[in-house]
Amino acid sequence: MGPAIRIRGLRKSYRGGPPAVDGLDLEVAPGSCFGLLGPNGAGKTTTIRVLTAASPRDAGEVEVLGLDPARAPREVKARIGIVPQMDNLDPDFSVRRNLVVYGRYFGMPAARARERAEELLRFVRMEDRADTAMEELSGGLKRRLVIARALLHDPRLLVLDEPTTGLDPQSRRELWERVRDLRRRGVTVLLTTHYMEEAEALCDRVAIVDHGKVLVEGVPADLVRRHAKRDTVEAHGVPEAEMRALAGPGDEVEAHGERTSLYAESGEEVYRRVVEAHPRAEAVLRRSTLEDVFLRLTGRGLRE
Amino acid sequence: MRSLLGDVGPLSFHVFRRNLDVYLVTWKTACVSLVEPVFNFMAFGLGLGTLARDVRVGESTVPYEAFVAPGILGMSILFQAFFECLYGAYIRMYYQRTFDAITATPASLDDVVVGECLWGALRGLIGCTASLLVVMAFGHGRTVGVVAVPFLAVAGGLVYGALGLCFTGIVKSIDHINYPLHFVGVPMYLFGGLFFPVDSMPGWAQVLARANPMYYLSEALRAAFAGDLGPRVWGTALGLAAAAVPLLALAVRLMRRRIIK
Repeated sequence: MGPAIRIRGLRKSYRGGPPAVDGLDLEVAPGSCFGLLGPNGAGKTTTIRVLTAASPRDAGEVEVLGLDPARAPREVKARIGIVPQMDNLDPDFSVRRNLVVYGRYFGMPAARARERAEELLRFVRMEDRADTAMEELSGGLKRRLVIARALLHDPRLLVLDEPTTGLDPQSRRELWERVRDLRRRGVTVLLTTHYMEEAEALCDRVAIVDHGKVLVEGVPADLVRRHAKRDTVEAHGVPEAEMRALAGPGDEVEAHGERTSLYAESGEEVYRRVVEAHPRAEAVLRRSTLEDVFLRLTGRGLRE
Repeated sequence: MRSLLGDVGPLSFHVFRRNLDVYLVTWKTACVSLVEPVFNFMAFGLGLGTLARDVRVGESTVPYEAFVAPGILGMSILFQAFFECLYGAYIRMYYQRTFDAITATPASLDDVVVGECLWGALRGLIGCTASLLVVMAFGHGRTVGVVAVPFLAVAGGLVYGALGLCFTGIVKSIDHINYPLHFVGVPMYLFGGLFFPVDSMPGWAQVLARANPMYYLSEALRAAFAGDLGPRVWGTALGLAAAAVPLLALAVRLMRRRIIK
């Protein structure tokens, strides 16, 4: 079986503007969960728009489940589920009606759609809310309903664009569980997120994108090891030069304002030296995370 | 299916059906607009009718009330269809993101635009039927000709729906809808022969009126009310339906330009 998504040299700009995607390559294995990460304006949403046949591309090759979304948009959309950044449920319909009416666009007979709606409401744990009106649903419940709606036609690929933005920690974790369930059932998942711990928790592989290109791609733990070592020592009030003096061979030091970060394969030793030399400085030793990789690669400056 | 209207297929029917379903769920508030023809007929027919002279229609002369009765129908067709495809469609497109939700399925944007226009035509038919019942209650339009009225309503509704969608494709914001509403919708109904005969206007205005679909629609409605089921009535229904096609094709292009980036 070929990749679920294959992108080669994708280029796209909006109406003569600067390129939003500028030579992006990506490959997503079937049955995996893939995270597309990047600061605002990096090109994530544009990439998703092209994949889901919502936008035409300027150049490059794109294959989704073996089909070109530009040439077979209806066929591609019949095989994928899309969870958009912003909820677009029908405000005048009940929970169940939202699903049944949506099923029509996939050619589902009403009886089949009702059956699927029951199954999916159980899946997202909303079976007791089938008759609830939209205005009575919280943000978390709306999200779950949008996910149920995206699964109506049993898609082989689910695209989630910032699915947990604005959710409380409970709802977020609940949603993670559902994504894991789907992966276990063999559904390929492509998701974008600004939460690095979410990407680490869910994704088999991630790509960090900036300025319309993939900067790095790989297994989250490997990326952390490669770009931010195992440990991070963060110190407030220790000048960069002194931090460098205390660093061991192979350690990397970065300063940003008053803060200095040191990335080390084994940070205990350095941490002890920092605390001894600067007893009044605030220093912490912790495991490096994907967020460290993200910030090292895309910089700490504000984007917008 | 590639056609003049773009990539349109049977899913456009489900877009139409979705809007109908919403209408049926919200019927209590949606039906409020149907009392409008009662007031319109009371004001224009019964009220203004006491002051106005009889009007010459073709070979015969009719009281103003009888002249304006079919006009009330034309007004309903225009406003129900135009408003639905302008204001209603804009809300679905921009605030409710319904178009995004539907185009994430196998349905195309072109399906959505065509489905919206079909829905606008049904709104025109619903409004027209309500008006017809009102004026019939007052003794007008009780001829065999009224069988043609639903066809005229749908054909006119397609034209105004498509026109509304063209503006939905270009207006900058919901506040800008005032421009097409007042500079296009209002003159189309005031100077379309609904309330006074177009041939009583100055020559240049009469030429302008010939470009107004309402001119043909009001003439045909009036003929149908007089019991005419001839080529004038059916020809107008066909002509309006045919005119809706290029307008709808334009609406599809404008909406694509707006939404597909």
